Amino acid sequence: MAAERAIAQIDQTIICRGCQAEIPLETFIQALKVCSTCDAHAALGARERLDLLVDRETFVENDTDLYSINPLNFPNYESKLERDTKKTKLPYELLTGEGEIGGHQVNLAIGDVGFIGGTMGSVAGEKLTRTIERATQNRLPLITVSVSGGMRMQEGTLALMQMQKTAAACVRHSEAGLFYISIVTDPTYGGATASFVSLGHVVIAEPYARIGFAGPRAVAGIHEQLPDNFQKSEFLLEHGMIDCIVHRHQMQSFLVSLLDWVN
Amino acid sequence: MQSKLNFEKPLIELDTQLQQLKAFAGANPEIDISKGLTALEENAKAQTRKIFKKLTRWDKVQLSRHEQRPQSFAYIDALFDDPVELHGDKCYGDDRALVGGLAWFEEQPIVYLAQQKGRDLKERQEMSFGYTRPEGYRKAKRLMKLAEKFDRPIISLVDTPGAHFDRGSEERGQSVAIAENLAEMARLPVPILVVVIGEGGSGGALAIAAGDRVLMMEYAIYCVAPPEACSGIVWKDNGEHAPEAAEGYKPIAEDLIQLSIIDGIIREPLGGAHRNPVQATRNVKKAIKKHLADLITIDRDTLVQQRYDRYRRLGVYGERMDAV
Repeated sequence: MAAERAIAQIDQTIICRGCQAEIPLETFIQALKVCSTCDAHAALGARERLDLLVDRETFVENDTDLYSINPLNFPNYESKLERDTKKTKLPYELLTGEGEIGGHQVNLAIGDVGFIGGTMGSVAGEKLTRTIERATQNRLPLITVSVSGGMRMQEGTLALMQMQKTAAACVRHSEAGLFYISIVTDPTYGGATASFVSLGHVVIAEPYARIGFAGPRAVAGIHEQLPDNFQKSEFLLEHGMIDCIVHRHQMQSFLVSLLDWVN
Repeated sequence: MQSKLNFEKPLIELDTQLQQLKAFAGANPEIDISKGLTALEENAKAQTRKIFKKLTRWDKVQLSRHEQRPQSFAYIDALFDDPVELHGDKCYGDDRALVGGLAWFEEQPIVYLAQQKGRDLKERQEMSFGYTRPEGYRKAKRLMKLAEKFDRPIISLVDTPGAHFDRGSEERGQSVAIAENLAEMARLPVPILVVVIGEGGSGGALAIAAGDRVLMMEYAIYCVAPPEACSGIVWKDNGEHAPEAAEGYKPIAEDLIQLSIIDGIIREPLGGAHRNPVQATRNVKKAIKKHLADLITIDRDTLVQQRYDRYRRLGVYGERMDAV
């Protein structure tokens, strides 16, 4: 079943665009923004995701003082940064810090798709790298929750370099004998998928998440016949590119069991 | 039939005049036109300099993709002795858009990796116009490991519009293939020297380019995505804003050296590498020789640490220093 993630909200009612079900807002939020009829997983903000995964009051956020600037003078970049800072109430695209999951101390990085399409620029690269390095230093597991529109065009080749910077930090973390769980959510594309996201020792996707290297625009340009589940979690599982698909409602307990296994 | 870019047209006209004058001189040896010939040649050079001084970033994008621009074939021929191409990823196939093998550079045994787009239609189809598939990256990874085993430096020649984006590439794990190469290069204890000879297109380039030294030809580009794709993403169009994208995201060698993303610019002959491929390959050879000589003296642990630090530093952001 391929469900659409998009939802519409009218007053206190959510309409799932996948199945047209009308769900009271409160029910929808209690269900962690999963459609009770068709099981579509709607996008979560970084803070919502954090509350879902991390033990209450154990999270300490790091590197809150980093913010994006316009290093290349790319047209209209500042105004977009300003707009999305207001929208997401985050001055950046990635929330990072330390917390506990089922009593296990971990380092975490959680993306937010609302911030310039969840694209990755210098700030996300630096924050993620610092988080990975801290995990290595403190000998802690690393958990990333990705949602990404790829590398950020407005930061050009600097953004591209964040792929190598984060991948290299992952390698050191791994070589230190430490555990990395990569959770992939809808949508995750481009340079993120082709770097740290795919380097998890266990790569978990949410159901029906769009995950791929090439963006839909590029793929559409080739006019190939594509399977219905093309670039969805189920497609990646079928082709052996991810370890498993885990429902949002089971994600936290699944993480705990993995962390129990390594510790 | 010579393909040409708009700003090249006056130069091609001067070329034609020169050819005609030379032909005339050949047919009429009794007339001395050497003065006229010299003047015309000087004029052509001056014109070229003038035009090339004013090139925009978008013009340079066009040069990096010039149909006649020397490709890695030319560099493999000119730079290496006795190259032995090794085929296939030992898993699925042999990508012709990314080749590699064993060779000698001067007296030094090396492993080479090289992307290629093809010189005629048949080759271009065979090489998917330079779009590298997962098999190409996995072959590169296999060769990187071979370089490690025998402690040989890697010379990597980058020229791709990007990693392939067809169904098959997604099915066979394009993302995983690229990510694993980045991881490999982060730990590889042999020198990795990279030259971007044409297009350095996004993750498709980086997957063989995360080296110790990254050099760029004067009219090469190295970008997060092709300008047309950037235009599509930022301006939500079909690539019409590509020239603005190219100006905006600064993909040329002079931009990238200022950002410390690259370590050196290799000058091209007047009018671009395609106007004098022999000179172009000579310049590349000289640059490789210099940097390789440096790199092979660095002990392996230091090399890997320096490589980590090199990428660790890249990024520009603000950091509020709030008073505690």
